[in-house]
Amino acid sequence: MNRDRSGGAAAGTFFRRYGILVIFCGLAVIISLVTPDFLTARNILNILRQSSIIGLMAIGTTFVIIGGGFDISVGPILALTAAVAIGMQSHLPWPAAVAAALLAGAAIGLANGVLAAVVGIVPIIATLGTMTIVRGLTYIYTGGYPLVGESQAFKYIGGGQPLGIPFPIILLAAMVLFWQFILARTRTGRYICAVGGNKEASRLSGVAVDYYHILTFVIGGFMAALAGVVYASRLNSATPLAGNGYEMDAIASTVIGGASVSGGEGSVFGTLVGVLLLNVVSNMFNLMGVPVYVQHLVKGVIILVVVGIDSYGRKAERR
Amino acid sequence: MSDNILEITALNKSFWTVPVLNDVDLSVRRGEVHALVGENGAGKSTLIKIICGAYRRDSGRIVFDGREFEAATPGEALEKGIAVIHQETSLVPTLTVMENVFLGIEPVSGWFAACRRDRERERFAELCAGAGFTLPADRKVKALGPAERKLTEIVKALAHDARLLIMDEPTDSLSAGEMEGFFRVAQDLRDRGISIIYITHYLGELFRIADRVTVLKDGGRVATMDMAETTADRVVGLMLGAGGAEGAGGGGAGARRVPGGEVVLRAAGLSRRGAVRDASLSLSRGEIVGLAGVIGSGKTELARLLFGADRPDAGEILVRGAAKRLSPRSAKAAGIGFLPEDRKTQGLIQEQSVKRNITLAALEKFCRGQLIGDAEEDAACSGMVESLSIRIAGPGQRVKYLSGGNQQKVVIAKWLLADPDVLILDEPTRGVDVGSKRAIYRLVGKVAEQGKAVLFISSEVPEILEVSDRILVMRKGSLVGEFPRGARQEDVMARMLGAET
Repeated sequence: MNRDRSGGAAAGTFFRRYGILVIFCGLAVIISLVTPDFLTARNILNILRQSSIIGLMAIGTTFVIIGGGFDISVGPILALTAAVAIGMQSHLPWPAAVAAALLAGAAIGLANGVLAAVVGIVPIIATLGTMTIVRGLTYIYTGGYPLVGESQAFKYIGGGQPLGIPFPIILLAAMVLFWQFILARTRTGRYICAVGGNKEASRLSGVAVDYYHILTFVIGGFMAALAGVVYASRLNSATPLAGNGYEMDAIASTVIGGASVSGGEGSVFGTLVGVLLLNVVSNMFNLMGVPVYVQHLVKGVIILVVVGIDSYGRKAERR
Repeated sequence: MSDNILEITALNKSFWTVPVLNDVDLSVRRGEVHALVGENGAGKSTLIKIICGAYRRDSGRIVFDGREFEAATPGEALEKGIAVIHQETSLVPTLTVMENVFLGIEPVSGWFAACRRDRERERFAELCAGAGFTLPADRKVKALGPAERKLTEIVKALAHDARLLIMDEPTDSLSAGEMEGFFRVAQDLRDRGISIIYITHYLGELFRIADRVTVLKDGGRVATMDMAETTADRVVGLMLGAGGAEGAGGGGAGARRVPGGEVVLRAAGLSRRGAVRDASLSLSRGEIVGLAGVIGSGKTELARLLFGADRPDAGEILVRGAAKRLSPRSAKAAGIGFLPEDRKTQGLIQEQSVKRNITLAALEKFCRGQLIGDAEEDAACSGMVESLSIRIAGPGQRVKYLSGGNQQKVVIAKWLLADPDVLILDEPTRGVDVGSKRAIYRLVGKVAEQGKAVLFISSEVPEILEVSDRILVMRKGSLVGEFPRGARQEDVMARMLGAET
């Protein structure tokens, strides 16, 4: 009986770890057979570049969710920080404007963390509040009009192509490696998992639980700001409605990538696969000429199926 | 019509072939307060749960009010006239007192089954008047104190026309004044012909309120006596049984010489509202101090104060002579470790691996800066697994798949790795099989030999007697006695239960 249970658990663990990858590869094979344009270098780079903005944002979301939190304010943070990155260039050199944008993102994340961990507001509600505030701030800052950038150097972040590879892809790859290292190999990463897994047990083990809980939100805000900078640079403009709904894609990618919504588990690699999966599906439908609203429908089904299999497996395991 | 409202004969129940109730008989008369006592695990809760329909019996007969009684759920039992006043209240906190009382039996009228508030109010006043007390009908239950909640549950039971009330530790959260009021209410109910089964750890209360007492031990009924014809000593004797005296002292098990070690932790006048009153104690290197007391006596709360998990309202804690304002983090830094009572929710991260759990409290020891040294961590983990003989499939196994004993060893390993000077163990053997219990006792002995101070907290007196060099007894939030090694079990029990005269 014991063996059965660990056998089932092993299967569950296998699915949790590699299931998404299997689905992803299977899908890629099918698509490349159906649509010949899919497996061209140009299209693949295109998919990766399209994934980079949500990808950067989703890395932050991954930390927040692993830490047991939830952050729906990252879409508006992208909009505000994109506006700051462009708008500040009329006063500051562009690197300083970028720094200001990143700082603003981290600061909003800090506010989210304090509201959730110290004040004790349920994270989804705390970030609902800041989400609305940040969207409002963006309108105030931009006056409701798109801001347009002037610096040519700044455009390199979103549009540069060292060695023929778009810079956002390189940035995303570097960030994935860096944050996966933080998560898997450092004390900070370990404590974030511990706090998300069981806050009280972590506290009673002498872990500074509030600090790490807040830190996840700061990382979330910072990565959203980085996404905002890339966004601003790519379009060389910022609109008050930028990034609308991106937070949902980021969260979806994270849970598709195997992070547990109850906290404690997940990986940056998994999230990357989740982001790519969603973008590959969109790309395929675009190539096949399927209308956008059907794409929404399919995305929703993917989220429910992937997370549903995992959740149901866990539920069965408990019985 | 028989004199007995409830008659139980030859009741049997086992869980997974382990018998928990053996041919238990119990008869409760109309209009009596019948006390039910026994040690933890004697079968009191199981018996109550069978009566009220939460568990199904294997065999035996229950006759209630002259009729064969069978209830599939507590709700059905209530409908038939048996109400349980639980330790944890079963009221809906966001509803008012009156809404709770009539929940599910609201008087209604009309097509839309509109609730007749006026009739509710009338009936509520009647019930309160009949029971001899008043309650704020429109106050929400969450705004009530524990005493008023208990009374609300009683009114609810009366509204359902209950003829037998089962009260499980009803005075646990009540103050002395509230207790007097509660006893009066119970006596009024009895005088009106309502029967009460009264479960308590506190023998003093029995003599105050009960008419008869039934003693359970190891799932069997030992005796039923008139309170007027027995004494507290006799009740304690029956609870412990013949084995009681033999287990006492346990001096042979390994009488340890305690060197007069340095005092590492001292608490003076610690208090926390509703849980701990003016507790003072000191722990020295190399000594195992047992802390005995029934469930709810404040042992856990005291332990949490000593570790900084909760803040005291008054009093101070001195670590190696220096006064400290403790949080779990600063307590760990000051060399205090704490194994919490509930390992599942407080001791372990269930979904994570054995390794991650074992090294959680001492992670910085295996790190260079932020970077975790995998080799060092693995070595420390497997060292602990080996020396505590924790049975696991591998260090990556999730702790939720381990047995209770192995889980507990993981929590102990976590703190041994952190290497504290003081180790506070709150019910370390709860839910652990006999073999692992032995292993834990040996481990605790070894820890003390290494010069650490151990506070060993348990509700089970025999194990306290076996492992401790010195025994503190707690009752209703206060430290009420100290015994040396080799004390008699009867004496410790009597002090815990407040049974001595």
